[in-house]
Amino acid sequence: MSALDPPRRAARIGCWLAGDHHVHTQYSRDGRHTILDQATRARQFGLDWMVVTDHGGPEHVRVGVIRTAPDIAAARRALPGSLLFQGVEWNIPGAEHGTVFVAPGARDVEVLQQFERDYDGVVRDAQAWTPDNEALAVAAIGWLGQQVDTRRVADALMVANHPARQGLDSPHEIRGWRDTDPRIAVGFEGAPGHQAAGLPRSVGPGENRGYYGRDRGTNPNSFLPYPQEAYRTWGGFDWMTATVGGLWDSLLAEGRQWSITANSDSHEVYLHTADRPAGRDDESYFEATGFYPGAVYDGVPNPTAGDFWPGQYSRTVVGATRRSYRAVMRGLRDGAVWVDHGHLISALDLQVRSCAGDAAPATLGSTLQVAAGAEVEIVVRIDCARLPHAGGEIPRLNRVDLIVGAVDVRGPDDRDAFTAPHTRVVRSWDTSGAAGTIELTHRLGRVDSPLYVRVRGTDARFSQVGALGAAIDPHGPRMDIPGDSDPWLDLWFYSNASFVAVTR
Amino acid sequence: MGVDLGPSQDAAASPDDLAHAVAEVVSHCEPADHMANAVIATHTRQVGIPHFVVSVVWPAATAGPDPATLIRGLVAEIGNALPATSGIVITWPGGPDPATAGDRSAVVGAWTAVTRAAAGDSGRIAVFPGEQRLRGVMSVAEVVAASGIDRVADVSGSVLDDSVLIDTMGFVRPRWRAHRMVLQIQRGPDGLAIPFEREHMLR
Repeated sequence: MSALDPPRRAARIGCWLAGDHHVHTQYSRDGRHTILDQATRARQFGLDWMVVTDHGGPEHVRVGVIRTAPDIAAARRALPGSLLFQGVEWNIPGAEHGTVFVAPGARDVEVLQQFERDYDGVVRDAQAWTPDNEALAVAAIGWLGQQVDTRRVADALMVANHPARQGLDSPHEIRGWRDTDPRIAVGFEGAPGHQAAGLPRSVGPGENRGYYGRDRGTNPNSFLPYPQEAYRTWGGFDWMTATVGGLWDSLLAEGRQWSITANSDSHEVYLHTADRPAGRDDESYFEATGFYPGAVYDGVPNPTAGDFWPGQYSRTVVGATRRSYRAVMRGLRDGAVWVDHGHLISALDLQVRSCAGDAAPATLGSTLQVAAGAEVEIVVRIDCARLPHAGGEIPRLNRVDLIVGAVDVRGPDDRDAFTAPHTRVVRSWDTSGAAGTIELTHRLGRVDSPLYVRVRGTDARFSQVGALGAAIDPHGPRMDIPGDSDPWLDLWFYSNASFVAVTR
Repeated sequence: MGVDLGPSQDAAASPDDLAHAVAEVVSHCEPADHMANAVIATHTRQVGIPHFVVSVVWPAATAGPDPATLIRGLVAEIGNALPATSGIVITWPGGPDPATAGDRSAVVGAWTAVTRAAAGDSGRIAVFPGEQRLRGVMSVAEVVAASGIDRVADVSGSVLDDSVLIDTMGFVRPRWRAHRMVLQIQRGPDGLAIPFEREHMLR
């Protein structure tokens, strides 16, 4: 299903809803906080929606998935207006982790439990990278689509989490999930969670940002062609997304939407003061019970914890038709999404329009349809941050980059391709000192063949030439330094892509 | 030589676990001065269930085993210290024909280790001469002098100057590149380089 053919009719964006689809609780072996705690923090940090995604596994499929539902119901009552979804962090057979969640309904626990029982890589001992396990992952996506078709659930989504972290998600697997059912497998995390992990040892964990500290040769299931730099974050973002002309762009260059997100992966929050109660805090307790008791206050801030609360640092902002569960899911699917760190910006609007004004403009995630030779321009409107972020400073947006890529709907010959040779940064704006609403316009000129556009911006404290060279990306994000990556000093936002389809 | 422990290999075993397990077994068969020269690496084999195979190399002109003695010693370990499903291949450049032992399909895997080690262009080295001396902050020159590491390179592949300081963090795992033992580093805090691969990184 190409973004171009037939052209996507844009859903009218009625509101922008910030959220997080990767949050752990007491129902994860490595978690501790209650659902109410995570949901309360999410709300405090300005999130409109949140997905509870505890790890799939033998305890969760038996206990956690069931107990989660009434806890979410109670949290919805306590926090009216918050959209709280039930999901799971799926161990993708043969691959990494993925968020799977459903639109709330009477049968969501039943569907999620069956999904985990039949398709979770830990529950099914299907984590090795074999053709059979790849097929199981594909079958899982197909099954989720069937649950929607048969109306057992109103909607379901899968977003692959921290995809490059251990090199476990090969390009052809990603393409396979997408092609099996593009309504269900809609994207991956552009930035992982664990964003406090790179704080220096003097104040924090002193580790690799995002806990991306692996290398080639440490997991036998890794896709071997991924280069060494794929195993690190870049300005806090995953290499697949951060690399202009990289894997994300190679998917967009097929004329297919693929949404990126940014989430907390919140397990254990930097400087948190509540933890599992003593004596009921180890894995043997979790294995026996299926969960930990909710965290209790112990008065000791923990500086070795590498996560943030949902919304405290990372946000996935979805353009939705209205404030509802279904609309959030639809917006994620459509790619009407931008993400940021440190609340770098407060609003973003991307329009791609025909200069002749003879076609409906494309908004974020949608497609402009023009005749060959039409003059096209891009207009980006950004509301600069007015409030301090949770680190205590009003963030400064110092540079915005426009990235444009050519589209070839035939797709690559090699389904393991992870570069898009015709994507590059075409324009950069120095926005230092800007305040209020800024409007940036770029004329693409005559468009004769399909393309896509996307934007990113930064506080520009750190940059280096992109992995594919200066002609592609002269001022890209810096490869993060373990123990020296203060997340508050390296802020980025990314938009998803809008497309231009050309008729002859 | 190459070793493939076969399907009974623990899927959760780290490459260090496997390399040290093989080192332990070989040390039953070989004297300490031979073991001191051994370079033990793991290589990824993605046939069947992906797993690591282990190579053990004695660089030319160092004291090493007699292949006939070694294979006899290792055959005795199969089913004891080595899983019964293991396969072993020993080759000796310019020497006698390769010796093989053990499960036939694991022998194929062991050949992978041998050929990768012979090609010298990939493999994660876990055991090597001087590894124990690489502790604390050392210059590139000191690292090269103290161990079998030939050079230190950054992510772009550039070789570092002798004077660059590395915080070894007590965890140094070089790679085979073009028949050289190369330690890959990245920038770390306080202006020091650190090994690219970090210990305790599974999350």
